[in-house]
Amino acid sequence: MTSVNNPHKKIRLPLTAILCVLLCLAGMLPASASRRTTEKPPVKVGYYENEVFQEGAEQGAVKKGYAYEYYRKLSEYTGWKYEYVYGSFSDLYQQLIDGKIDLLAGLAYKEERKELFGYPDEIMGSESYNLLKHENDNDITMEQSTLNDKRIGVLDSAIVDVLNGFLKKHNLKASVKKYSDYDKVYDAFDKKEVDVIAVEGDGSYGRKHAEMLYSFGSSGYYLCVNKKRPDLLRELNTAQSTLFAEDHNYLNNLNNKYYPASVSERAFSQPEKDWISSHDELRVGYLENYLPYSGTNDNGNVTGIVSDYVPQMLKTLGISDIKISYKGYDNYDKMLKDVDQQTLDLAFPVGGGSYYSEENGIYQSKAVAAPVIELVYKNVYNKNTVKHIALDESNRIKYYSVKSHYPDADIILYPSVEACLDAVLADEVDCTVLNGLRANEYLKNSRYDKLSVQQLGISEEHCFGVAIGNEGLLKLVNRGVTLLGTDYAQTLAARYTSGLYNYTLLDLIGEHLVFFISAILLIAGLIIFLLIRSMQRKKKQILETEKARVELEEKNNELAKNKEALSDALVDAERANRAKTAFLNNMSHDIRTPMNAIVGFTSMAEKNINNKELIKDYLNKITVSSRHLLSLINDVLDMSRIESGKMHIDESDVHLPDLIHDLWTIIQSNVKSKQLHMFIDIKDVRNEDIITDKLRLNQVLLNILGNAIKFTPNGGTISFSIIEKALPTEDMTDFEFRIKDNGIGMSEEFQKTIFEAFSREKTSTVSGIQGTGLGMAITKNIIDLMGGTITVKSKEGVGSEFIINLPCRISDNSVQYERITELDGLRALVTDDDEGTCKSLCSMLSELGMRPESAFNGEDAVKLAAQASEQGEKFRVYILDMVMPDMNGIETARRLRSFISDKDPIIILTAYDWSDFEQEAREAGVTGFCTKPMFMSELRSTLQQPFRVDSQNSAAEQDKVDFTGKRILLAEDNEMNQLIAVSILEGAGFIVDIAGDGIEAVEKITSAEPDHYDVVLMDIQMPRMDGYEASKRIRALDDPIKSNIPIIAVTANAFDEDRKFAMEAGMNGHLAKPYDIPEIMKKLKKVLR
Amino acid sequence: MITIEMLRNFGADTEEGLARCYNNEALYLKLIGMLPNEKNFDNLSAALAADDLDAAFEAAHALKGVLGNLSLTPMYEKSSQITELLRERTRMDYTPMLKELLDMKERLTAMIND
Repeated sequence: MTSVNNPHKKIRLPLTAILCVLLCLAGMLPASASRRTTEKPPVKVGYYENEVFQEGAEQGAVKKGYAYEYYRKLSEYTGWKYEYVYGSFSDLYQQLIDGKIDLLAGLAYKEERKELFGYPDEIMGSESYNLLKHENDNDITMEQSTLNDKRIGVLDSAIVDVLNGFLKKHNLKASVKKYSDYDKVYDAFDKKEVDVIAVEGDGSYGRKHAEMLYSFGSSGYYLCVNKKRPDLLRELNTAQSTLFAEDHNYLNNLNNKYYPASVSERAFSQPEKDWISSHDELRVGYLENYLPYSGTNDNGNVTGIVSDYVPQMLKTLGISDIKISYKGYDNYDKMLKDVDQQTLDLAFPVGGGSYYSEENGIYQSKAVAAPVIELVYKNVYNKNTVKHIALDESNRIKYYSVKSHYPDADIILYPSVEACLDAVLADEVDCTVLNGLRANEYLKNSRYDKLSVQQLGISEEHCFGVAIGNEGLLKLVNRGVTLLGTDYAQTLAARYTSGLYNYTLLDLIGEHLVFFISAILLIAGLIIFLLIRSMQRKKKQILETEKARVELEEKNNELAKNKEALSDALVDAERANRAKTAFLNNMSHDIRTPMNAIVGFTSMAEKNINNKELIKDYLNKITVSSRHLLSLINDVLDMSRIESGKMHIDESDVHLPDLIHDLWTIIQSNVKSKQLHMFIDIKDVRNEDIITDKLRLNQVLLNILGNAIKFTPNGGTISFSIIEKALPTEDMTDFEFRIKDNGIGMSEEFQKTIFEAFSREKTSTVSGIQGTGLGMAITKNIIDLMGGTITVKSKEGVGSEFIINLPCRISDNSVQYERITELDGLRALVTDDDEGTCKSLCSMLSELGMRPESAFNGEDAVKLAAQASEQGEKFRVYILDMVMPDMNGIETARRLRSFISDKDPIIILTAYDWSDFEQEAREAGVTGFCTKPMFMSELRSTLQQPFRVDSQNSAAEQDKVDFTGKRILLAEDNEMNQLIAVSILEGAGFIVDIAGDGIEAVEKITSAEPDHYDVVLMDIQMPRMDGYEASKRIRALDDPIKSNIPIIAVTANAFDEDRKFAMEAGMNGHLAKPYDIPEIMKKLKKVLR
Repeated sequence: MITIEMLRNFGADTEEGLARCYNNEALYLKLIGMLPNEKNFDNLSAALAADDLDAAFEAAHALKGVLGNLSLTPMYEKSSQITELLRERTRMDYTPMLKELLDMKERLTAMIND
């Protein structure tokens, strides 16, 4: 029995044997590893020595074998770099289980192994199982039933199952004896304890007395993967399926390459044995003048491939007692005729395909050599080139091959190859066909210079011919050819092709010496003559050449330019395509945020279906998110506008607190789910009503906040500050929005390109920050359009801060705050663990005229309140943050309520929905709730409620008084509306003058004293001349006082476009019908200020 | 004689209407009393009959303003509906809507003249 430790024995080890035997072996080779420093860690392959399958298992040894080639092939698909870990199979098997190596080849599939390592979907190869009997055992034949009642020895392995399956399928009753290793199997066979053995592959291992019966099955083996590396398994599966798709036969070919003799068991089959025993001579016929295949040398002996091949073949087959005799033939048909008549055993070479062999009454053996055919032709190759083909009449192989491949061609026979070539030169035929092994040598001759050669995709098989019916010899020859391999004939060919034509030339010179000397002299004279002539021509030629060169260069330049333009276009197209993909990815991210809010609040509403108040609140929030979603979808349409620079900013009145609270509603669920701490600070915000593009500002802030949430790990902190910075102008202000997180941050490199359009943004994928490319580009675009700036500060691993500066106009609707007298001088206590919130609330309270103080936790708040009560100047307002460490807002309220007056309001400040704790809070004595962040207007209204300040009435009364004595021109065509307007305006103290249409209005202004009217109230839709036109005309008046008179538009609808037209016509404001008195008063107050 | 009570029953937002007249009930009722003479009802009917959508829009638009100022909510809403359709110059049969509007006007007129 072959030992595993003996790698020199030329026998392929059965894999299962290795597995079973080696698992028990103790002496293990230490695993050594070669490491390479590459970016991707190399894949560790267990590499054990196994003849043919996997060779070179040593540091620095040349590696080859089935498995090795398979690894290389896989690497083409996976990009794996290997680190080979050497060792014995059992050692490596253990390492695979321990996860020390990643791959190990040659493992059969077993259910219980599935837990130990990963099997890919496909096998890496398969092993066939064969039955072997004793050579002289005539009871057992190819007939399967002869196995009945026989004893079959088998290795206790995966083969047993296959064997049992086979027996069962064919209803055979044989006793199966299992052995723990192959030594025992063969031992039992040798001792004839079993009649038949079931083995892997060939399996006879040089046992002359073992004869192969047939194959009874096969099983696949796998390249298994470390259980801890599912990534490698995935890659392997992909590689295998791709490999299969690209080359169905890859494994077959690999198998044929490494195991070509899989059926050539050493023991001959019956017909072979019969042939050998009945012959003592092998009569070989060969073709004359057919080098390198065959020919006769000067001594009259056979030469060429055939002379080496046949003896070597017999030697390889182990046949020594058979003599070889040769006979040369000039004629192919004659040679085959002799084979047919049994005066020859073998003919060489024969070929032309099985059809013509059958016609000729012979078997064709496996091909000894199969060189490609080369087509020799003159002029240009086209389809007509193969219409008329010249062939050597003596070469039947070629004749039949060509006939098989070009059935429509006219074949014209010539006496020799030379004659064929000459016929091509003389245009008698279109081409001729030469054997690839011979063509080069022929065409070395200079007279064939004008001929061209083209390799055809056809190979011309050169085989041995055997008489039909001589099965034994055919099998022997086939076995021999397979054993020798195709390379063997190729090597021999080289020996016989060189000098194929040298001889003829030398011979020629020798025979015609005189002629050659005179010829040389003549040639010398001719050369001198030509030289002189060529020198004369040279000058001219140089000029021509130069000219041609210049032209060529120009053409080349042109070509290069075109190529460049083409490649530019390609790059553009690719970039556009990438941009599209990036865009889609980004959109889905943006859409998801409001979508989450909708889904989330919908399910919350479902849970609280009976609480009307809550449902209403949720519905509001859903509406906000839905609107945002809708606007985003509109944005998709806007994208093209951004790209072409056609996006416009749509300004309108915006109430900043609404915008911020809406934002919070949208992002709230994401902040909650990531357990982020979010602080929103309001600092120095005096103007809550501004004119800006609400949608865009929302989009910008949402984008940056969204990114902050996305790139801040769970539990992180995001702070959002809204700071108003007063500008020197009266109607303009500057807001600064700061969004700071302690997330993953950005590399400096990425910060440089973050605002660039996606098409140029390359680093986003590299830095791992995906999807921001487009978002930030949009953001930057929008902010630019709004006249603002955006900057970013960031550090990798520390966090990012985005700062937006946005100048904007203050809205006409801006509320002027008066002091709330009831609150004047009262003390207020603010309690929040966030210092920023405390500061900002305190400064707002001070502005309201109160005296605020702050505490950072509940405990301090209670202490401060108690002290204040003792000192006799107690706090009158308490504002408590809901979420504080140690003591939350409700608990603090409960403690406070125990000693303060029931009248004093306690307000809970919360960033979240308060429905969950409202009841508990109210029971603890809380009087009101407020959403963070708190704006001035909200603080006022919150505080006004408990102190019952009716600001609206007082404001209205104030308005009423103001206008006494002011003159107003009312341009209105409808009598009814006139009456109503007059009643309102006169009620407010105005002196009203009426114009029935635009023309009348312009006339009245023109004819009146410059400062007669203080203001014009202009209806838009009027007969004769509408309000827009009238306003334009008034604005065009020469008198600066008249042309600058405030004009307020009045229309029955408040569409944005009406407002826009009004502004364009130079009007100062816009009112909608029906009249809203406070609105009218506010507008009038504003323009008359 | 029409009263605030009747107007409220008619569907008018009398509170708003009165506020617009600085709670001057007499003024409000006087203005309501002028409505039957509002020429834009006829203008609208005529323009629609003549298929002149431009003129119809102008009339409807003006009516909407007047009815809104008077806080005659049901009539205001109907006129708004017609106005918006006419703003787009929608070609359709306005007769049923116009009839509804005019019926309301007749009811109101009857109350005023009663």
